[in-house]
Amino acid sequence: MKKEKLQLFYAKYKLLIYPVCVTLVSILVIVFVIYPQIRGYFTGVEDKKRINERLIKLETKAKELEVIPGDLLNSQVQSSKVALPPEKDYTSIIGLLQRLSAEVGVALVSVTLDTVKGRDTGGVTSFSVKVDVNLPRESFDVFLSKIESSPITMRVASISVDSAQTSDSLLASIIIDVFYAPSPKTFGSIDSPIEKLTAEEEVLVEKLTSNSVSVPVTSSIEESPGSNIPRGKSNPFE
Amino acid sequence: MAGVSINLLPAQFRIDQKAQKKFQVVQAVSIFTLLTLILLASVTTAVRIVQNKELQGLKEEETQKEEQVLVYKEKEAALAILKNRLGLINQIVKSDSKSSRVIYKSVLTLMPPNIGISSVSLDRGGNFLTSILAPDSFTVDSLITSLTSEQGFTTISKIDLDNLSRSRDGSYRVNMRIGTQ
Repeated sequence: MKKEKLQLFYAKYKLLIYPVCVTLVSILVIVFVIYPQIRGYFTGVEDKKRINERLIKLETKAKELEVIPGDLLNSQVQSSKVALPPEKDYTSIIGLLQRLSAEVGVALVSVTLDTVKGRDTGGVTSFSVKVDVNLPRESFDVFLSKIESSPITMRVASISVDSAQTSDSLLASIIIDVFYAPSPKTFGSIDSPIEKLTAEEEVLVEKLTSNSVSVPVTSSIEESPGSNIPRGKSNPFE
Repeated sequence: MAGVSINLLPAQFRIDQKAQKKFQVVQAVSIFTLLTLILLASVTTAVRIVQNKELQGLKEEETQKEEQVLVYKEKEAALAILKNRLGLINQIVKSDSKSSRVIYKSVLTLMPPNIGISSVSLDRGGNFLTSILAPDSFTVDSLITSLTSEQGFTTISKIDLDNLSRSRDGSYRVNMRIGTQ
């Protein structure tokens, strides 16, 4: 009975029921199949473009890094770390001052190291070293120049000079600021471009590399195994 | 030959035929629409499958390139450290004009050569204290003239004469406090 009623209903309204059903099916196909696929296609096109751009960047970066001579770069890093140590390096400073004074002919009377926390100025920290020297008058300026052009970045902070009129020598007390800065802990991501050196930095690094040959590295420069220069007996009382 | 056409079919039959034809048209349009949509869905799905395969290939290539860059990770880190060090060293070098050595040299070049300097003290603030011995008053004059010249005031901001004394032999002892810029 019901079936007959249904058949009758369909026969009466089939001209309406048929297009409505087809329209509904079409809408479902469009909404759930065609639209997502078209949308996915355009997203895919964008992804492809982005990946291609990244591939070019990565390839360029790999090529640029490949051509940088590793040994030279390591020696430059070492030199720059000697010039600006990552931490307070008292041993190097004392050694350097002894060497400089010997070169100029200065009698090093005393060296006083400032062990308090260093002054921080714009990412660079400094500590003071007070040097008392006895030296010929004509050597004083040379000694000051040598301090400031030494392989380790230092600056003369204050000067006190006493000279006897009868004598040709000076008694000077110099306070030197020795700079150091901790190494950066975070580096750029894989996508970040290579940090190229500017012309000014190229000149500076060449100067540092040629300057730093004779300064022993005594700070804990952890990256390179070559920096572990023996500093003497681990236990001096053995 | 002109013929006469007479439709002897019942009226209901004609109505049914008309409705049937109409239904056939609707059916044809519907089937056409459905087939078109199915075709479109198939094409888009096929394009997406091809595109996905391409993307997968590109992603594999991307991973390879990433690994290629990671091989040089240490070099990159070294370069970053070098750049950082050089930047900081440049920063120190550029502020070198404040160095006491520079101030010391600048002030001393302003002093006449026949002056004897007994003591010099230069602190972090650029305060230059000196005790000098001049053989005669002309030398003291020339010292003051030189220190107060235009060239002198490029380095010096102020001069305080703390003490000026004349000894028996005619020489002058001058204690000065010079403020530098």
